[in-house]
Amino acid sequence: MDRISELPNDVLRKILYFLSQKEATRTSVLSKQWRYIWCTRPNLDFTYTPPSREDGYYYRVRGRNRENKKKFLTIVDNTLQRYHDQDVCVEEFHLSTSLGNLDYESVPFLEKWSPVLKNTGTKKFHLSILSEHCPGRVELPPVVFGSESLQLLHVERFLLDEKSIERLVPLKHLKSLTLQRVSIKDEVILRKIISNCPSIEILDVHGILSFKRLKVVNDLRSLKKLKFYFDLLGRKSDEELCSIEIHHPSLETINISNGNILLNNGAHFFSLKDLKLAGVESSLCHLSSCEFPSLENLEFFYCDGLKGIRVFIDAPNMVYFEYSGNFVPSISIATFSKEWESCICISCTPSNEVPLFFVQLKEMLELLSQSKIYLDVDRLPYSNNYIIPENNIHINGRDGDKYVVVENLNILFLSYSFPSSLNGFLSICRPRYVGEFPYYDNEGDSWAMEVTERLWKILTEEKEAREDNKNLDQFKNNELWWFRDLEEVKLEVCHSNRDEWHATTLSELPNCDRSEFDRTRFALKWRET
Amino acid sequence: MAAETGTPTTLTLKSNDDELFSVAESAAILSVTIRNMVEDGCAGGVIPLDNVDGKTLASVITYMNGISAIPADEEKKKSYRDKFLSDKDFETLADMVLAANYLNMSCLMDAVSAKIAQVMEKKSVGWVRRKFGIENDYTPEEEAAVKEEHKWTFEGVETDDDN
Repeated sequence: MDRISELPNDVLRKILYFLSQKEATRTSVLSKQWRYIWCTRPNLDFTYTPPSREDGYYYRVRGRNRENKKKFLTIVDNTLQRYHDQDVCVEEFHLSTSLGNLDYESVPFLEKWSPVLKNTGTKKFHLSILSEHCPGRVELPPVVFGSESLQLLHVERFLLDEKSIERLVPLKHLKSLTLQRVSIKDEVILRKIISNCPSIEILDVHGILSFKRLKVVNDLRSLKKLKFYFDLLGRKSDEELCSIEIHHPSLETINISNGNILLNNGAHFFSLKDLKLAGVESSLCHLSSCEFPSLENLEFFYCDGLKGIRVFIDAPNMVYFEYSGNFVPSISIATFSKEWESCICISCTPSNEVPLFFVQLKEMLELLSQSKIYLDVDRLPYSNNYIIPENNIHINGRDGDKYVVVENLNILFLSYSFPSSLNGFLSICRPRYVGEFPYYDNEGDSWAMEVTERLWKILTEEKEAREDNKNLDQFKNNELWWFRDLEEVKLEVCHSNRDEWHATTLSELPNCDRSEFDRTRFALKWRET
Repeated sequence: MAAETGTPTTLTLKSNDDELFSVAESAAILSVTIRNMVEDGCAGGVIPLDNVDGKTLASVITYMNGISAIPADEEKKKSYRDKFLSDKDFETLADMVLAANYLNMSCLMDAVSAKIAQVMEKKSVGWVRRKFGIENDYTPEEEAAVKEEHKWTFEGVETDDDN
């Protein structure tokens, strides 16, 4: 006999374990010896994909969908029956399917399989179930949360109400629960589900959740990843966001979007590595009292909860910090990390007061000066005078301050006030690079060329002019005083594939092959102060 | 050589073709079969492994030493396994999977089984038969009946031959 067929059945079953259901089943055709090995492998894995909307309007594909699904359900059912008859345990059962409104065919099968899996001792039941209609139009059938063997459950586009959980049982094997684009009206429903999942590790909820407060039950000792995305569709602008209480020390990842978070004062998040907050409106001042000994990534995205407060983060192992927003916050990070990065992306609103903006920004950069800072500025309030007198910048009487070194300053706008806004930034920090400007884009390269030309003019020609003619009023009044610290300016262009920068000049730039070089920047050398 | 205090315990394993191998106990107990022998105190002298030949055992010991030198980092262990198996032909893989089965080493068993399964992935029945030298002992009628029974597994199959 050939070598592979000689392997003991235990080994063959293990090999088949790693094949798809289709491939594993097909081995029955190889030879008589292979006839029934496929139906003794420890896992079953069936996926039904409903026709997508691109395949035509729903009513046009409805008939085909019903027929295909019926065939699919029959194959699953026959296979499970075969395992049952042979008394072979389905250790893992993966089922991915879809449900239509009032799906009279699928639901009875689910009703039939759920107890079979329980009785045959299936420990890993992975169910992924997708509604075939718009989110919230189809109710999730009660059988789903009544399936005790579930280890992983992914529910998409369903409405979850009292009826969906009327047969809820303790789901003691459930490790991962994902509710995507669901709609849930009452907090009790979600709370009841979660409190029946004692071993849960991953909880990922995304949808229209129309309640105001959620307490994630206390005794989830294994909870590692918590992700909540509150869909704000149809929300009134003055409506309060849902508040979610979090305090599980086992958490490794917290990711909350468009919700408020409530943390206990002085909470210890021993395992937390990732904290991402987006659109949090309530005050985040309690972050200052918490401990984050494992925190590596901290990201804030448009959180009004940082307005008007000072936040102090105790995170000895910081790797990456990111802030995006339309105001300058006050955040300091206490860390032992030697190498970490901060990315600051500010997009101002017209209400920002210009001199105050630069003073706040300088303060923020100083607080983060132990990290490698990348500063992106998208929009500034209009002003034709960003000149910051030198004595205004040395706030708090700290004369002789070193200017904060910024790795890269990227200005993503161009307006009449461009020279003076650049002036503002160079008054408060010492960027090693200014750029990167996309050198070539589909709409032509006028924008990038214009920025590059303007910067070239300001940084080189104007500097020379000033140095030649020191009687110029502005220079005498120390208004563009940062020029005196700028020793050298080099224009560089980046090779798109190799991420290498080469020195060039403005006159050479149009000669560069644009398919090879795609970004420009200015390298600035500053006098040691 | 006399073992100094503090040096790790070494076990001696004997293959079915009488080759002797020394391996650190901490690495060897990746095999549940060996671990049970150690725990039962039967590992004092030479441990005979009647179902494994010298060539395969040498390879398994390389794996034991390699994987146990990697700290608890699943990604690194996985990439070590991938690299370890990358240049092995099917004959060697078959020997390894039998050895892993006999030695009860689940991580090696899984990795080798997955590697063999990979060879069969997206391949037609005919290709698999030829690749592994499997003799088709169905009559044409029987084969057609089995195919008919599992008709769905032949729908939309993109394989390199139609058989």
